[in-house]
Amino acid sequence: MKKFIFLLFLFKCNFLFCSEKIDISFEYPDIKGDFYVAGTVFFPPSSILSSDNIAVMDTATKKEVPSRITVSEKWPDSSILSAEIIFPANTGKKTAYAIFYGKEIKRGKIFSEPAVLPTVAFFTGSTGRTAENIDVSVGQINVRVDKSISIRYWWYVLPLMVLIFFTVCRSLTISRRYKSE
Amino acid sequence: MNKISISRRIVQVISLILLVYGGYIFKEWKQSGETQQQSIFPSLKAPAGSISTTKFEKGSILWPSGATPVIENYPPTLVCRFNPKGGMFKACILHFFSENLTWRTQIKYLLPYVTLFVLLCFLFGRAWCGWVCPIGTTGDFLTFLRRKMNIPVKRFPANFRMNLSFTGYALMVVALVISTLIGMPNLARYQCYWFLPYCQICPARLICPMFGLIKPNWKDFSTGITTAFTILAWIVLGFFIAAFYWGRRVWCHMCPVGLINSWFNKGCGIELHKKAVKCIKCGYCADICPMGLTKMYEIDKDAIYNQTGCIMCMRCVEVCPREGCLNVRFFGKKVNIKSLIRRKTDAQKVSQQIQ
Repeated sequence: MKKFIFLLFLFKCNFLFCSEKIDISFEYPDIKGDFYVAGTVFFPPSSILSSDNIAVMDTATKKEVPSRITVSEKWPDSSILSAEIIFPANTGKKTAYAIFYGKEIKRGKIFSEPAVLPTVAFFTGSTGRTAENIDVSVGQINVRVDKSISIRYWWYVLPLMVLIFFTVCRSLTISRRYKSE
Repeated sequence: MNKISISRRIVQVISLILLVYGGYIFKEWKQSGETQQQSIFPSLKAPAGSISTTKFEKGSILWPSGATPVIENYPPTLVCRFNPKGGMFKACILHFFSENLTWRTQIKYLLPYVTLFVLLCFLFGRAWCGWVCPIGTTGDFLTFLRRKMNIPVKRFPANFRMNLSFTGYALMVVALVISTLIGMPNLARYQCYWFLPYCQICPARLICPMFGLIKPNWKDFSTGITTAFTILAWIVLGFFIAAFYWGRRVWCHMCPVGLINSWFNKGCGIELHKKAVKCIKCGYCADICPMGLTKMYEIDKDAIYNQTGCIMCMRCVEVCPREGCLNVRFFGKKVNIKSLIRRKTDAQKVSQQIQ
């Protein structure tokens, strides 16, 4: 019994401390009931080879949440680069979630997304510790594309300079004529 | 009234109608013309999330009380974005500089507008003030009322006029400096109070909406700064109205847009020539000048007497009793304007006109 408890403790430790953890956050929508939480997570190279090594966990209850994980990109060494993760949540049960990944993780609960429910995007605070990538949440970014040819309006400098030159010349000429006479 | 004066009044009335009511008249053309506008003149807009646009909410001090203009351009005269139904043009040149300094618009997008402005000033100098400006027309109407009420005109000394010009320059510089400062990221939070500082006190903001029977935003006591601007606006408006009852075109000495135009007076296309040998030193030209200028009287040689403060109303040319003494040329080509006044028979008419 003690051995069993010890093994269970080790398993928990593995799950908690020998795997990598990514905290995720999202805003609960203004609805009542179930909804889906979806997003893309990036992983460091050579960390995991299979989507079964990724699991979503409720950090409050320490229980795994059913999830569907689709690998979208892979590193050159065939380890997972990014994966799309979707899991259900409920507005009546507000809690925090985290993604655990590693060779020691074995995803147990899978769901097939039968219902059509509202979906909310989640954000990650950071990826695993790596020098290759860093996720930084910067909020909304507005991109303005200037399609005009860069020289297009600069042509106006020429007539502008000519006009100013003629104005100054005429002004000086008139002033000199008035003073000399 | 004489030929030039009649022509000038007609041009003033037509300009007032077009500039103020252009939005009503050219409503349909405005809608179709917008896409053509963008190919020659780039569209200038506030940056996304700009605080400055909150100034234009209904009830705020800069609520425009009108719709978009027919032509999104900035002529060298005191037209106003506060015209009813948008008017013909968007706003004056000071508004243009003030707005784009705050928005930190790239210079290349401003060049087409600046080039057009400089071209118009190069051609006509400050004639915009004398012939087109709707605020000048309003002032001339007030002068007409003053004459009818037999209130004598006050002649201001030269240093008083210089002080007014200095005040106008000071207002312009302060407005442009404030506009530049609130465009900086660290000071952007003040845009909601200090955006378009000159427009907040300009009399045109209060006068132009009334042309369309729209109530302007007379007051905004929501914060200390808006209260201060409201009080300043009342003072400036009071000065504007009183000035035209006091003298002739007193406001024009102080108007920043007119002061900008005046930089081009000496080099513009309109030339005022004097043939000194014909001058009899009657002094009518100096007496009738609404801006109080006297150079055309003082010079004793053949010369071009364009002066910085001159609004090119050409009353001096019109009233001169000696034909050919004072004449108008456009880039050296003589404009044929004959004086209808003979010195001996119509001296009384001239003295009435001086009032």
